[in-house]
Amino acid sequence: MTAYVVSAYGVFAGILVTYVGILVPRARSRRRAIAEVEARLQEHGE
Amino acid sequence: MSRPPPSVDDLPVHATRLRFIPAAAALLLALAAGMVFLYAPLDADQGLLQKIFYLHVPMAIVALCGFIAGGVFAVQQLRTRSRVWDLRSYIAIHLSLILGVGVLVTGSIWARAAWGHWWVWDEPTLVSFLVVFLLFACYQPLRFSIEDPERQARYASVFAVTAAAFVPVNFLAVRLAQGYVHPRVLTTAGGHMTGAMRLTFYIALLAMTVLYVTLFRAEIASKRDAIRLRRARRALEAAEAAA
Repeated sequence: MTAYVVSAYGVFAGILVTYVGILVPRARSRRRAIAEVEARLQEHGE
Repeated sequence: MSRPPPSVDDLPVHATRLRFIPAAAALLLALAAGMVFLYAPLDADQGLLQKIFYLHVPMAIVALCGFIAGGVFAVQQLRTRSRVWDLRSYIAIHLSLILGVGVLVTGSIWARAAWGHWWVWDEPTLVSFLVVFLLFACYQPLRFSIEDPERQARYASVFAVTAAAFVPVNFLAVRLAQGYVHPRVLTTAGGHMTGAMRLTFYIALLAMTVLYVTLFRAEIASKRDAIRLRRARRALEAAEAAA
């Protein structure tokens, strides 16, 4: 029974970690890219 | 005077306002896990196996509510034609699908231990949840098969509203079904839970809800950033072409 309970909670933890592991780096790289592009836009504006 | 429909720029920015909610989600998840394994008593009938319900049932409730929320946001999209409501509807359904996978897998694990089968086709709760899940699983292929953003939003919204209408029907069908063997956790009589079990269950439900809200806001912020990035790149291309 313990194995079933551990597997069920493991599945949930696995889904959560995978999801956050995809979402957070992607969000960070997007914010970095925005800052980079906006800085280049400002250079063009000057 | 009615307010204008929200634009993509009205969506929350990732940095500041999001910090409190993930912390609350992490705290509530830790509290729920602690209560499940250290506070809630062992079930007299199922023993340790019943601990799966503190995860499986809140996930199922939040997933189904997320599908309904997706339908409600879709109604708003059809009313206002706003891109923001379309994004909200898409993300609500997307997250509910992920939780739905968790519901199906944890349910199967419980069924294997309790009934000796991974899946039972004559059990209304399982089959009706699978039907709702598969229905919403068609949402994304439908959405991304349409290139024009206006049409994509409109068709996806119509689908989301129609599919969301099946969720309460699913719930009612299961409640009315006779001869079921799936345990009832929430009933008007309080189910078979003692006070400590019920408190643990409600904390687990709250934790799952706050987790869903956290991921929802994070996804919204991420989509907003993607749109900002696209706009900034277009502006940069135009500036470079003009130079």
